[in-house]
Amino acid sequence: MNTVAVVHEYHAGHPSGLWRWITTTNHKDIGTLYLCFSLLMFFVGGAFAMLIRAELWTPGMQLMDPEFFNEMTALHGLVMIFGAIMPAFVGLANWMIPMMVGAPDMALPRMNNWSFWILPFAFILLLSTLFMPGGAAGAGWTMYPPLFLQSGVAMPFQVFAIHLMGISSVMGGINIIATILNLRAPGMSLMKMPMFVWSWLITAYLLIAVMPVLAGAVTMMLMDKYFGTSFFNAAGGGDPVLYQHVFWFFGHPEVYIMILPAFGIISEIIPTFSRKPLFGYTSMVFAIASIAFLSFIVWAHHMFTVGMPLAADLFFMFTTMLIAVPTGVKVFNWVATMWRGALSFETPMLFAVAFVFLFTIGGFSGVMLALVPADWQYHQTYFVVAHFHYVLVTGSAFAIMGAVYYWLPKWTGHMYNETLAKWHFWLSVISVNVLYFPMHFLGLAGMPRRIPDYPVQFTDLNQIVSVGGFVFGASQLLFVACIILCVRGGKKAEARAWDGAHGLEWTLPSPAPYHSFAEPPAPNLIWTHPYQGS
Amino acid sequence: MSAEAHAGSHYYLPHPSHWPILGSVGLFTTAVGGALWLEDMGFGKYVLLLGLIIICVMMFGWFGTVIRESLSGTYNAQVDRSFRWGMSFFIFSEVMFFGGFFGALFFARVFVENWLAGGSNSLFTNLIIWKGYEPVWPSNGPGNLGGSFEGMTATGLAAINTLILLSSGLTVTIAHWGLKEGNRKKLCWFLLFTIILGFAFVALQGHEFLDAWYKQHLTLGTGIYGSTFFMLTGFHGLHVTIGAIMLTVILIRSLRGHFTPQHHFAFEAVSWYWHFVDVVWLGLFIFVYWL
Amino acid sequence: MLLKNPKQILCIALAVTLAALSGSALAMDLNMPVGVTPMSHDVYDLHMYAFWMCVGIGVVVFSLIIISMIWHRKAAGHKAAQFHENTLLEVIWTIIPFIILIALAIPAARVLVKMTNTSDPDLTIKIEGYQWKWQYDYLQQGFSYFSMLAADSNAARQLDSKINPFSVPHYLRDVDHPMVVPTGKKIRLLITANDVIHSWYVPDFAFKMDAIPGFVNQGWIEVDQPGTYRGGCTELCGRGHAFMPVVVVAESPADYQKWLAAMRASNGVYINPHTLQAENYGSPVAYAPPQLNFVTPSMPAAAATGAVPSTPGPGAAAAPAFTPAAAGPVTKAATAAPEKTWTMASAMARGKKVFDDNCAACHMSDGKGNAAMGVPAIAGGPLPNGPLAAHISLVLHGKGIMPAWGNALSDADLAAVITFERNSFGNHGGGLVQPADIARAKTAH
Ligand code: HEA
Ligand code: HEA
Ligand code: HEC
Ligand code: CUA
Ligand SMILES: [Cu+2]
Repeated sequence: MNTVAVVHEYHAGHPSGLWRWITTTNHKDIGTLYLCFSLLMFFVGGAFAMLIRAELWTPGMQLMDPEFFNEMTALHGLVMIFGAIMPAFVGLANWMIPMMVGAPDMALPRMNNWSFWILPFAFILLLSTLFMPGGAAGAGWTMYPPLFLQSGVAMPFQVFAIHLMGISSVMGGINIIATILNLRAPGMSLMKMPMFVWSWLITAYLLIAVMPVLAGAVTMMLMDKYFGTSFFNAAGGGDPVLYQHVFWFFGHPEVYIMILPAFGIISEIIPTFSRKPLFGYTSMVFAIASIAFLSFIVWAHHMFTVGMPLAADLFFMFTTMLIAVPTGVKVFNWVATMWRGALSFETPMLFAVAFVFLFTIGGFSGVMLALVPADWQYHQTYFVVAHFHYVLVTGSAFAIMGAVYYWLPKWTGHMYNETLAKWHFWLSVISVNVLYFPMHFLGLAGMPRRIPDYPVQFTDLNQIVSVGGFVFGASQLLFVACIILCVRGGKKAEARAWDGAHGLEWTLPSPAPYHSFAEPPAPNLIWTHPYQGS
Repeated sequence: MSAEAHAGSHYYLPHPSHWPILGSVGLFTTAVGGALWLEDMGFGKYVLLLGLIIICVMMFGWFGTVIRESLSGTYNAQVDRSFRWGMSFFIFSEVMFFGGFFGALFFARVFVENWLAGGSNSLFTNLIIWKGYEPVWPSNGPGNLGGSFEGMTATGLAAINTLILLSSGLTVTIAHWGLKEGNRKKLCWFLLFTIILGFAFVALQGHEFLDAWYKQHLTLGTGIYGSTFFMLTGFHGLHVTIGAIMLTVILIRSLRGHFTPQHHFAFEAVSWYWHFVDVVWLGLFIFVYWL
Repeated sequence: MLLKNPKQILCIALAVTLAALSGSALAMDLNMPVGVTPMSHDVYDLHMYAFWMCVGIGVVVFSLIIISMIWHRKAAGHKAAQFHENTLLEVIWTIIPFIILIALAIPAARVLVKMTNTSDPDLTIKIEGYQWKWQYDYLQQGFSYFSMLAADSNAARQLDSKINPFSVPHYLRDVDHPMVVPTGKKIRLLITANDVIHSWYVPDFAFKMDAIPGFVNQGWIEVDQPGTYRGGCTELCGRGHAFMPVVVVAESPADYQKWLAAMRASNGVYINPHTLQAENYGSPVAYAPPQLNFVTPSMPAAAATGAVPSTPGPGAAAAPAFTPAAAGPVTKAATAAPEKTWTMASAMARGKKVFDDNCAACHMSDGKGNAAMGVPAIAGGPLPNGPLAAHISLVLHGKGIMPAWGNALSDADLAAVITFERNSFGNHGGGLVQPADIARAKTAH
């Protein structure tokens, strides 16, 4: 998504070509790198998903060994989460946060470069396991022992890949926090920050808090396998379930890491296209903070069937349900923002509205999953798969797509092709429901997840799901087309590309200059109240 | 629009840098080497070594650049604040890393021991699999993995190490006072004391490990007690070592007169780190050795 | 421009909904089964209650969005209001969901308390998960047997089988030896695993419990109606995860008693609960004398035996020592077997059978192994052509992906399969291994 215009800004003494991208300390370059990387990974993870859906087209094993299927499931999850969704959000943060807070760049630009450039290496490590004797580790993205310990050569490579991703995320998080806390333009108090910035401030905090815990969990596993420790071995006084506790202490905040920035994006897009200030700014901030807080005390809702004592089941059920309250506040505030606005439905808004609908559906199934007795039926079935794809694909991924359309004009200086983008949206939104909605039924009918082959009565629904999956996957080619076309040319974008948009990023020309704000913006550019017209 | 140009104006922006990519290559090489070695491919250790060397080169180069820039007065107060936020949150991430291992210790000790012995809703775990197992601590589990062993005690070396580390926290603070007073002698001497105390700690810890391993028959394979003991104290010892090396760098820089009473973020960062290592030790002393 | 008109949008939305509904109507069960246990009824009710709550909230929220999408469009000439705060509203929409959640939490907690009450059972069955089969151990009756994927499904599920799964009755939902329970009795299930985590799930019982190596979980079922109930393993447990179904046959107490009597008398052979005939072949059934006195929890402190695998040293890529089951006498499947002695012919025949059932999944039926999976060939392999002790030891204790078979197969079967391996695929390891050799190897360790 880089543009010729950006290159023009380059001054003598800076490297060019590939070396420029490798050594860059510029937040826009790094943002672009992150976004391109995440798009690539979305396709890699998507290709794995296509293989999964192809094998699940009909009962019987058609295409692959069951072990290879397990490897696909595990890598699909890992690549999508750590390769597609998270880097996309970090890329958006890199591009937008300095512009939104009126800064020239990120606070620690060199470290910013490092955060990104660890990622390709981490994924080379991870994906190379596919080509090793014994193949990749097929123990799911959750890597539960003892199963994960059975994987061969792949195991240490995968563990080290996770370590690298952790280092990258922690440094990224540190940088974002330092930027937000330290580089805001004079006059921008915390409660005047755009919602996207707020959401990332809290997300970065979550990242720094939980990525090291994941690193610890996989380190213990490495020690168990190679150095004879007994963290997850009952004979030595350990417990396989201990791993699950440590993993989900990371894993649950992790899923909010993947949704809070999406909340921020939606809180930017909806006011713009409703031409109305965001409703309930303060409560939106507090809602995000409460979600983040609660996310630390709900982890064992992923483990209701491991045989926890009753008191623990009850505790985790109640705290989990509580998260629906602040999340509801967010949904209601978005609805109130749209209410009596002057709505128009350009593509970013379409994605945002679809997000509100479909994320809410995913949230509902989440609340159902939180009810322990019912979870005994849902757990490890496609009902869970339906739940998390609704929140992750029609939640996080849709928000990212909306954000890309929303800010493309700012990045490239061109408007994207609205017709093509609408096609992308409509095809996606229809096929995504064909893809994921029937998964609820499959789960309720008892189809377990992570199986390469299934009893014949699940055939019809699986075929509907697979068709939805193929169409959804193919539709994403339109997304790439939109982006490439927009980078190459298109209608010239104005500084304020959307008539309802407010915020410092829209005071800069489109495309934005190489160093966003060389001098702090004048305080009168910062709204007295966020999203309120000057 | 180079760094210098911006230093004069409101913001500081660094040049493009090749150190990060070198760091990534170093991490990658280390990881590949380590993984190969673990999988019994002997040449892995040379790859690992190469990776570590690359990382060291990167650190020297990167920190060297930062020190040069700092000395040339390129950094303004805002940059200083960014560094401070960065360091604080880095330490926070380290706290969480140790938190994971402490969590494992508590979980194993408080819950798993109890369940293996039939507590809570795990009666049959004890009746069927681990018959008659009674909860004990230190424990190497119902399988008596690693054979009989002797646990650690809070008296003896551990107590001495606690004293050492606590006093090193004091000496580094005194060094800081010296720095703020502009008293270079005080700064350097007390830094030196801190470093000596730090390495003394590491040496004693090493001694303790050897004793534990060979005399007390407490190894990594000694069930959950050996696992948690060596992992927690091992990672802590690693951090002390890194901290002491960083203190040494700071001492060298102090001797060269790098710091001023107003500007000495590097010193402060290292001393924060040192205090953090100190606090972790207190946790270890209480929960691993004492209780 | 495309789809500017909301009417168009709505039409499409409608079409999609209809398509989705009719599409899903193709399949049979779209909802959670009501099931056949008191708990499954409660769970079903809870599920529907939560579902309708969500539908209710959804209708309100989505209607508001749709209304404003229609009425408050810029294209329809609507001018934007500028309000952006209302504390009262915020308070209301914090409190109402909270109340709804309490209304959900109370029944959920009530059902949960019932579900976890395993006291006063009429019968206790221990279930142990293996890669990839189940072992049912009737603790008070003193017999146990393995239950694995039925042979016809197993043949059809192979990658190049050319067998149409639709032609196989109960494809992937059938086992050789189902678990048999009486109706109307509270049955306590004790669930554990031998190697990795499995999970025992039967939708009709609303019962799912993880089987965790080294720990025993408990739960209970009480089946209302006689019948055959099918489920499967629901925790990813490796290559055969999809292929370890659970089948439970519930019979009236009288029929159950008949089966029980036949099982007790059968001397290690599985009795088909429907025909009460002995099954010809299958995975081993073995006796284990009743070991547990459920009244007195305190047992003599017979510390865990040396059967617990030793820990590997640093750097050794040895198998993780998570196989504690050897310490429990009830999992010893070998009690009846050692008296048996094989002739070469019978050992080879039995060995081939055991190999095809258990080993061919990885080592392939031609013994060539599976390089992609990292499974070595048996044909020409160093162990089957080398010293016997090492061969036996590896099969007993496993290594990495290679499972430990010591507890999973009877000594007789182990002896047979090892004999088979040493004397086929062009191997020249030679020798006839007897069950007694296996028993000796186990104790020698
Ligand atoms: C972006 C990621 C994301 C998000 C946001 C969520 C959000 C939620 N999730 Fe989800 N979840 C995942 C990603 C996510 N989840 C993933 C990846 C897994 C599977 C992991 C694996 O096993 O591989 C999972 C699994 C998972 C489980 C475990 C299921 C199982 O394995 O058995 C549970 C159980 O409680 C759960 C609950 C919830 C809840 C209660 C929320 C809540 O936050 C939802 C809150 C939102 C709403 C409720 C909607 C809006 C609210 C209103 C309109 C107000 C009124 C509503 C009510 C009063 C009900 N999730
Ligand atoms: C984080 C985000 C994320 C995203 C975006 C997706 C996207 C998709 N997922 Fe993903 N999924 C997970 C996260 C995600 N998933 C996780 C965490 C798991 C759990 C893993 C585990 O159990 O451990 C999971 C598991 C999972 C399963 C269950 C597997 C199992 O249990 O065995 C399935 C099955 O259908 C599935 C399908 C899909 C599909 C069809 C898409 C589609 O949306 C993908 C669409 C994208 C593309 C297809 C790429 C773009 C296009 C091309 C490559 C062009 C060529 C394509 C065609 C011409 C058709 N996913
Ligand atoms: C899940 C897959 C799997 C199954 C099922 C399996 N094996 Fe193996 N087997 C392996 C793997 C992997 C190895 C290599 C172990 C190693 O050396 O790391 C192996 C190694 C062996 C070897 C040593 C080969 C040599 O010469 O090096 C023998 C003998 C063997 N298995 C016998 C059996 C028998 C007998 C069975 C069935 C009762 C069986 N295996 C079932 C995966 C399997
Ligand atoms: Cu056993 Cu899955
Ligand atoms: Cu969760």
